[in-house]
Amino acid sequence: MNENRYVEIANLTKAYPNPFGQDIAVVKDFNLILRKGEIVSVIGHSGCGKSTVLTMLAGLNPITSGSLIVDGREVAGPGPDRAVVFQSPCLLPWMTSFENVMLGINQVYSHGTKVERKQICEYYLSIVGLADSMHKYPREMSGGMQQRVGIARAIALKPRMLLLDEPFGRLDSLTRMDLQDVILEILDRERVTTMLITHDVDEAIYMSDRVCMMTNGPEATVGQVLKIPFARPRVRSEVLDHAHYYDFRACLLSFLQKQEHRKAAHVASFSKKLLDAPVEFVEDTVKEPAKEPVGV
Amino acid sequence: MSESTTDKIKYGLLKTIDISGFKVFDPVVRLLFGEEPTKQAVDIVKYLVTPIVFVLLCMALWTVIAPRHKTKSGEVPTPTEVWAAAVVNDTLNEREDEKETDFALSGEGREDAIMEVSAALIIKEAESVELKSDLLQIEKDVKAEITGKIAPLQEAYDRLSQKNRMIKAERETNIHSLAEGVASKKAASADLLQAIRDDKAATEAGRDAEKLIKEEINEVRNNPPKALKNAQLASNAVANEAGHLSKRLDYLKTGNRSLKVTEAEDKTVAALQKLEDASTPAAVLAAAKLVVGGEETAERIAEQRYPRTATIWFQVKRSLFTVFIGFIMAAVIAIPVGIMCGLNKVVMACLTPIISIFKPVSPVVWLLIFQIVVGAFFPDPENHPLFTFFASLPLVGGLGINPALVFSACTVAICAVWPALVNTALGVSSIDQDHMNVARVLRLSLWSRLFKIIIPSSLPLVFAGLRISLGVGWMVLIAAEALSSSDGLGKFVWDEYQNGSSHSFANIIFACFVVGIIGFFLDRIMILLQRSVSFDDGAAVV
Amino acid sequence: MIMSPSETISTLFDSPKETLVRYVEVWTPNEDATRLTLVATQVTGPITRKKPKHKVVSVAKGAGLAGTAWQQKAVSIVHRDDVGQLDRINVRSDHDLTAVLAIPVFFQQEIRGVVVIGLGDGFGAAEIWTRDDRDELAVSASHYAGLESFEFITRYTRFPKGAGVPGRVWQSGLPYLLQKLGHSDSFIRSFGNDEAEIGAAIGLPIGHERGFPASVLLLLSSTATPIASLTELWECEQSAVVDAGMPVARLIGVTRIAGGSVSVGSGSSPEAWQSELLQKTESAGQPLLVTAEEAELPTGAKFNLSIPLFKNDVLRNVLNLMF
Repeated sequence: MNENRYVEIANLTKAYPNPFGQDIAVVKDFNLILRKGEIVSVIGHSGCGKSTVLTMLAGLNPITSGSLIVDGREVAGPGPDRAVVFQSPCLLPWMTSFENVMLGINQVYSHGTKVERKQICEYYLSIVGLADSMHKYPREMSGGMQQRVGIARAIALKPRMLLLDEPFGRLDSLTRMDLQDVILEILDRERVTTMLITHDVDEAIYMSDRVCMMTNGPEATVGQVLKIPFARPRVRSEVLDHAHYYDFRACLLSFLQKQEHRKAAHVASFSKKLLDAPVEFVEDTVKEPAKEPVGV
Repeated sequence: MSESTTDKIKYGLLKTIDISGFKVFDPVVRLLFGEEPTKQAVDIVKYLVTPIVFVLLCMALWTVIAPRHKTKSGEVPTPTEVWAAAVVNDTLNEREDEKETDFALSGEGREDAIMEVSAALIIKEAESVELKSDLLQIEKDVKAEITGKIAPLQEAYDRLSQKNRMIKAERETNIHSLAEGVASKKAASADLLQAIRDDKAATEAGRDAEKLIKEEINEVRNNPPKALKNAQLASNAVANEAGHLSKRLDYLKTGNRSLKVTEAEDKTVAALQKLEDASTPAAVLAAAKLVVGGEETAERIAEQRYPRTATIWFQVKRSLFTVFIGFIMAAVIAIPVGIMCGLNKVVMACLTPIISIFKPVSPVVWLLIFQIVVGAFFPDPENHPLFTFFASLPLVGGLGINPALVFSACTVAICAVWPALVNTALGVSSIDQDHMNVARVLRLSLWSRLFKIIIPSSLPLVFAGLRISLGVGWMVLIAAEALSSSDGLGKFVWDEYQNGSSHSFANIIFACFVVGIIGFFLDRIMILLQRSVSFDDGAAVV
Repeated sequence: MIMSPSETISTLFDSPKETLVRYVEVWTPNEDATRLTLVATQVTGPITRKKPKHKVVSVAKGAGLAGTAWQQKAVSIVHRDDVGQLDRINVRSDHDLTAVLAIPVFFQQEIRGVVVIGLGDGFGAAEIWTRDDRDELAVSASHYAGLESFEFITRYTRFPKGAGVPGRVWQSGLPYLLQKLGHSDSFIRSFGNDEAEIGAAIGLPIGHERGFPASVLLLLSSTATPIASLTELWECEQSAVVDAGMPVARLIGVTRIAGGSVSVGSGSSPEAWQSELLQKTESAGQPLLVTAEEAELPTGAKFNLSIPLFKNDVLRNVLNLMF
């Protein structure tokens, strides 16, 4: 297995038909290859289709065209080898945190004895710092604690790939930083290939080995990929003090800003596309290179 | 952060009243623990005192208005009368209990009871005789008083009617002569017409005057002094009590089960003797048959139950049992079918027409259908194994389970099944997509998906549906019982309506309260259940 | 805004600007394509600037800068500090060159010439983007004039297939010219103030490997020191080339710098002098340098460098750089 091409996303496209039968591509020709054990952040404006990419990779959302390969296997439907942590913790509220984690462990370690499974479950809950709250129900826990359970549940599956869909989006900044460190620590130990969806520039720089910047939809795709050269394991203060931290930050911010400007122009053309009758103008608009999002 | 013990008790209490749905008492508890007394006082006044005052006002209004409306069943009863009816019904129930005990007593217990009851009876009878003589005296006095009051009025009436008759005769003669005059063209016809009109008016006026006096007389006659009524009531009550005691004596003496059994056993012994004495084959056979028959009779009698008169509390028990059976039937059908509907759109599409058509059908129609259908299953209900089985059960055996109960329960079930079904289907189909995603990512089997995710997640709505079902079932049941004369609260109401005694109306209103209060508690129980399964602390709609 | 090229070309060379390119050489292969021969040398800028002596020089594959570019099928860059390799050019004293680029031109696997350009001080950049093990383009060699933080961030930037100008050129195998950059939103890589000076970007596919260009050369041209006084990218219409034996081309990109203003024209047909240049380049199938004396050029222009760009076995584009 080529570890440099552990996860291969090639020409990934997701299109939905508009009311007039024309397909509107939300994501178009998305190309990205992840190395084994690498953490890649995908940043972009909300609604640009980053979560669509993630859910397609998770197998929760069927793809329109292109291909998705994880560890040499084509993605076909969801499975525990690609664990997902969503923005909301998605815990089953009628189960304690222990039971929530156990649900996954029972699926993955079906060969292990009951005691073994219990130990695994306790281990993962303790590494996310929930050794004392194993038997609490989600409603008895704060959002941050719930998300910790979600992370433990995902990691406990020993997934080939970890998919994080803005996992800290709803948390306050202190909790967010705590959780970033919790995840980084686990990932440094377990070396799980990870895709992190976020719109927080600092989070992207601190957490990931590479940042994939997505252009705004429709027809969202990869605009640029930025390699973050800081060695892992990382220490937050060192990263922040790094001479070039602000260059990376400025680069990402400027990208997002430009996408923001572009959005306004696109909304107009998108709504025109939606409203256009199927046949009109199609011939005319084909050869207009400037319309597509292109950059240097 | 440690909580003090009082705080623990306090929050425990608050939680309890919150869960049980009596949140109005929240400020009372807080006040008892001294939390922000002014705020709590204001809350108590607003949400506890004011509603109580309002209810009292309604009662007062009822008290005032009720006697003013006269119906063919008498006046609309006031709250006091309804309360009295409640007490009477309770006493009736107590007496039935006593008689039942008496019926089953044997040996020394019976002897003691006979002594006790006889003694009480003697006292009561003496009391009754005394009261009766008092009553006779009062009746005589009252009669005299009334006659005294009526006499002058009657005289005036007689005089007036005499006078009216005379004047009327005069007018008639006058009209006749005018008629002759008109016929011989001596007088104008207009005069005759006018005379006839005048006559009618005068007759009317005379009648009205007579009526006034008549009403006065009736007023006196119909409103005997309070003393008479009280005396009557007191006498009746004691006579009633005495009657009950003598009935008890009956059950202790002649009607007692142990006595009957002994009697039957004696007969068997005699028959045995006969069997031994008999010499001819025919006589032996006859005697042997007698022995066997006697044994059977003794056995049957030993198993006999006291033939209770259906009192209200008995009817309540029976209704509760029926509604419980019907509700269980509804739940057993609705939950699995609802889950299938929620999971599969095709199943949903198949069932939608059935649900939409049968949901609005009146319970009365269902009752009739089930009466016919269920009846066909039990051609001989007395000996049907199902009913003999039920009759042998300890708690519910005495409720008299019969086909009527079965079809009432079926009616309850079919009317209660819809809300539970629809809500279950909704609960299953509206399951959080995130939770389904978890199941998909973990590749859970259908079974674990069902039991670990789908059912727990839809439970709150399932219970919400069951709660509505139980409410509907309870309402339907009362109507069904009234219509089918199947024992239960509905039949109690219906019987009272048919009865038409002086207490009937009060009894009906009393039953109305009983039905309402039981319905309220059933609902509370369901809320408790619903709260206990709801995982998100979401406030149920109360 | 579409503008006829001739309208502004007349004023273009009235007050010529110093270009980033200071020095140009054209090398073409000999008949059996075993050696490259230096056929033309020119210096840009004022007439006073001395043109080096034109010696007949030829190199074998792998020898010298031009030979290296030929062998590696990629643009070679030599920076000021590695002057050892530049035995013929007195970089420091004669022309103040800070870096020299050798750009090979291939027709399928066959070498058609090497263009060597020497860059001076000013503002601008030349980047060579090559594919890494994950099919992403990264800068493998570069030269920057100014633009320090841009240079830094570019070191960490990757473009997947189709993303950015490099990704686009790589995916299509065709050159691409993007104008009016500066603060514009399409200049996605820029993030600082320095880049505001960048006016245009020209991406050129270099070599062929498994159906894709082996690398992409990206030239960033600033308004202060543009790559050339006039840059035109022509698209040759395929059927016409074959039928008439004469290229019928369409201008798909142009960037001219005159007095700091940048104007755009596209879709225009060539003027007579442009047709002549295109025709010459087409028939030669080689990079071509013509001076004002040798051909009709707009007034004030000193010389023009035409680079033919092939895709598969067809001439698809011609890039004109006029000084």
